[in-house]
Amino acid sequence: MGLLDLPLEISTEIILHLDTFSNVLSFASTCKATAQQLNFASTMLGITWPGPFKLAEGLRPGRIPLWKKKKLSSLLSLKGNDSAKFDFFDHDINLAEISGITRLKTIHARIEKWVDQQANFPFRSTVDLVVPEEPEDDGLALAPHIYKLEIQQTAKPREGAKYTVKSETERTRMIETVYKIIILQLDLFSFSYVRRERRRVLDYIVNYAPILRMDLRTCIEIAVLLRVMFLELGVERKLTRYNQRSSQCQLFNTKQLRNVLSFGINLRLEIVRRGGVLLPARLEYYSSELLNLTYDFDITRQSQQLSGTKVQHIFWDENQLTMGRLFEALSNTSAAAAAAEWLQVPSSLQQVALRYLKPNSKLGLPEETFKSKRSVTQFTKQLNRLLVDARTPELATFEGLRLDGNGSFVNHGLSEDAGAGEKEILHNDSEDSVRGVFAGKDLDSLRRGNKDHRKAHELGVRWFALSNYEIGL
Amino acid sequence: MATPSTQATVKLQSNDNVVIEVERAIAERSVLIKNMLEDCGEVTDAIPISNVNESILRKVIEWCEHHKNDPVAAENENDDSRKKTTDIDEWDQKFMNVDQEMLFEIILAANFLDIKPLLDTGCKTVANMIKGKSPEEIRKLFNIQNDFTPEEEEQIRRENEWAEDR
Repeated sequence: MGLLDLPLEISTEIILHLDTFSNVLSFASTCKATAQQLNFASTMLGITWPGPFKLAEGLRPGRIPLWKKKKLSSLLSLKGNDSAKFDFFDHDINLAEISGITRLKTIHARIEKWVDQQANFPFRSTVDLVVPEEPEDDGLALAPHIYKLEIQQTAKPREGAKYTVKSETERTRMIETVYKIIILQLDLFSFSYVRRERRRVLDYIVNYAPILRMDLRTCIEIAVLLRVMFLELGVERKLTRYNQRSSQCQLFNTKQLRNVLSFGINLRLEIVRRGGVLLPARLEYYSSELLNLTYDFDITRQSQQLSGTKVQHIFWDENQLTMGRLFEALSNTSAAAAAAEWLQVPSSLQQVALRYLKPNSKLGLPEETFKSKRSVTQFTKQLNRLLVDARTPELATFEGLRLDGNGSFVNHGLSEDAGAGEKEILHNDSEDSVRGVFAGKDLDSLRRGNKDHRKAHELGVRWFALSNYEIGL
Repeated sequence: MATPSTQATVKLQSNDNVVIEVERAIAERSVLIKNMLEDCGEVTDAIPISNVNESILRKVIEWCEHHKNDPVAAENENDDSRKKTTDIDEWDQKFMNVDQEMLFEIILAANFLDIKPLLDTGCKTVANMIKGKSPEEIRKLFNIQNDFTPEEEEQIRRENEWAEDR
């Protein structure tokens, strides 16, 4: 009995525990059998890889159906002005023609190059969490677990250099974030066929589920890099850097992604502001330009406007401990419950909201939350109250639906009533179905022409009625 | 459906026909056995564990005894991508400090008996043995024959150069 005698599913498990590409490749290079084992793992089980292949999950062969990829290419292209193309990797070789390790290596090498050349910051800063003194008379007692986040600039670039130096771990952190950006971009759209002038055409709506699955920390990390790598550097400069032939620019338009991201961050900040363990002094909502984010939770009301660039401290090694404490505190439900009590916000709502927003949380709220129509109404009411209290200018309704494994309505979900051309949106109950969260307005556009909306509304759960402030729904 | 059983112990029979009596709660760390007991209710005969010999079965039971109070992980629990996969607790490290043949047998038994935490620990142990080693070192450690031609090996070396630790 030896290593090579283990069945494929076990050797795959072992590979899944190898965290770095170099370890994986060393293992795969020992003999033909291990090379085959890796090929199997990389093509069949990429989704469960906790290390590199998990990061490349969105890119594994067969991950995106061709029709979806084609549609994404046209959706995300900016015609006439900044040349932007979805297929951001295919600028000099056709990755569709290669597979397995070579494909992953090629993609990974490019992402590393992006990070090395584009994720650059002009200074370093350290952050500290400190317990502030009581504020001057403002009529409020301090909530338990309130901290002040102090940010201090600590290092500038070396003489002659424009940017500070990244350590290897900081670089890795940024590379992982770029993978997350790509995966998010891939999962953002759900497709369906719609009828337009007697023709059936492929249309799309934005699925908010992927962004709602991400925790606040990941959202902020993504926002920082999107700002720095995709917005602050002009597209032209990127064109020059990555491809001399501008017609084949591999960069993609991140506008829709930024819209959804700003929504996700604003939502979480609102939750934090209303009853979290930290009290932001003044909450500036993130816009889709990812420009301003008041992030210092400073009850002394001396908050700074922080741009995406300035929130860079989230990536620095010296801040990881503090960042860990900060975000752990944010997801700490018991502390949140204490804060909720102080704020007289129903703790059940806080718990539900935090549960919903916790890292890796499943999108599904507990079934009991929705076991009856009454409880759904109650839940929506509570959320509405939260939002009205928060002086949100306009409310948008969200609905949850189960979709097919591609996150689309194409194969299931959208039934067409022959004769009337009516559609009703149905849940997909297959085993590999995934949950999607959509703006009610978008779903209505799919239903248009349907006389009876009740089925979808009854089956679907009214998830959140939230502000669409600055997200341009 | 069978009625739930209250029996305190169950008998397990290894493939070399040795019967070992074990507390039911301990045996139920194995999802395979747990399901079997739930389906059958009271089981007086020894349950044949056809793929596992006595010494490995005893090792597996030893592990189950030590971990009998561990919480059972949720079926679809999400992996935390930031969690270190190298984390193996001290007792498990000692438990897995056996010769390679036994290590692989334990892994196979854990897989057969559907004891996910033990399978994970075994796979992590092997992964830790591989980490940081060159292909040649891995071959030597696991007694693997290099069946690549020199040309193939050179090509692999070139292809993998990019991933070498800096």
